[in-house]
Amino acid sequence: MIEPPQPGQPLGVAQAITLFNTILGDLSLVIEGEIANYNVNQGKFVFFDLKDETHDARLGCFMMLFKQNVPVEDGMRVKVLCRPTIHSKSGKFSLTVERIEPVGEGSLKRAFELLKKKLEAEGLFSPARKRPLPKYPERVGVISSSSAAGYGDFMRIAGQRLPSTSFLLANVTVQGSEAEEDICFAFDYLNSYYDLDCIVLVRGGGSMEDLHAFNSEQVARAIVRSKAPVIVGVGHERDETIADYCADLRAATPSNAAQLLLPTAENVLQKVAALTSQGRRLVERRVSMAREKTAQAVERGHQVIYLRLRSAQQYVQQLTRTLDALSPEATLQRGYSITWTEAQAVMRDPAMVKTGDKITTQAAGGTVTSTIL
Amino acid sequence: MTKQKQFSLNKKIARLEEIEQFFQKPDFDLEEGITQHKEALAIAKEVSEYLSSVEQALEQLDIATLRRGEP
Repeated sequence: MIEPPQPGQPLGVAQAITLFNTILGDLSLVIEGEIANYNVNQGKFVFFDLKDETHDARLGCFMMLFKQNVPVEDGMRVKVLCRPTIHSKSGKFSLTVERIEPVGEGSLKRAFELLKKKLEAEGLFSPARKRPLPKYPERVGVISSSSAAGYGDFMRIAGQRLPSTSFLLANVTVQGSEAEEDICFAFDYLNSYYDLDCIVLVRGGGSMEDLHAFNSEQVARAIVRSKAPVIVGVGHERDETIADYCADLRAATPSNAAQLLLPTAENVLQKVAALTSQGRRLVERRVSMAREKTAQAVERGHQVIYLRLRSAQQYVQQLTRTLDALSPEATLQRGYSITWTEAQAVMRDPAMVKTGDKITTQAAGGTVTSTIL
Repeated sequence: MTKQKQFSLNKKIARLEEIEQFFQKPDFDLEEGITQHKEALAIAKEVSEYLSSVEQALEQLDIATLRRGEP
């Protein structure tokens, strides 16, 4: 801090500049104008003029590239948050810019296009980067304003769906100067302290200026670095924001975000029924096949036993016929006879008997007793 | 909340999907299939009972307060 000089006491140039900067240092201004001569030096220093067309006036501006929150180009109307400074070496007066905000629909659209092109070139919108959403989310982070219509719509539809889901609302401002910082903080906070299945960013419709935070590079990068997959449902179906492009899934509206995120209890039960019915059908089919195979095996067994029995029966019949053919009775039937001596021996030789002996002859029809003469 | 932590719908459905995969094998063992199917029916019953008894929960964080570093 430099002391103000006594009247009439000269100051050195450097002292004077330091004094001016000390006085100016308290000023934090928002100045609106049109950008001209925008350029980036050495990949980190940004210089441009802020023009007032009606009064043919301009101010030189400087800012660090990493602080540039929105892409701009010549001709865009913007508001800059800045501090006036006199540079000691050049003695030039300029504005050190902290933040830029496009003004008016035309500039907002142009900023949107420039940012979209930049992030697309970095691959932030690439389908390969999109992560799948959980099928049955158990814990969901919601970044929105508790008083926003979009939040109400989201929770109303979510309330009619999967009853097992729990929600953690990160209550933020979704419009105005704090919105961007709030949303980024919410993403980082939720990802740091909670294990969430998904994060949903929702708000209702609005003008391009109202939706400005959802078209910011900071929010885009917060979405991309989120550990949990992100659904964005902002505005109406026709609204498109940079946040939509960065999301893992874009929902047309907040209500649609709830529909895409959560199945209904009925959907789950139908899925469960489908999963169990297939098992039942296959088990029943296998049981039926096993029954059929068993029946076939039994039938084959019956047939084998029957064939064996029939074969045995035929064999017995054949033996019986052979035995019958060889039996003495069969021989007698053919006209032969058997003669026994008195000693009941079969007479095989006439010498076995003598005159006067009685012999018995058996024929098929009966016996006759004779005496040898 | 305790009940929600104990019961994981995702795990139950993942188990049902595993069982379904088992049944995709054309030559699955019938006795094992019957055991798996009984388990699937038990899980289906659990899921149905859980969904009819559980309620959604909502907690809230005030980000502006957290940004200011207030508890």
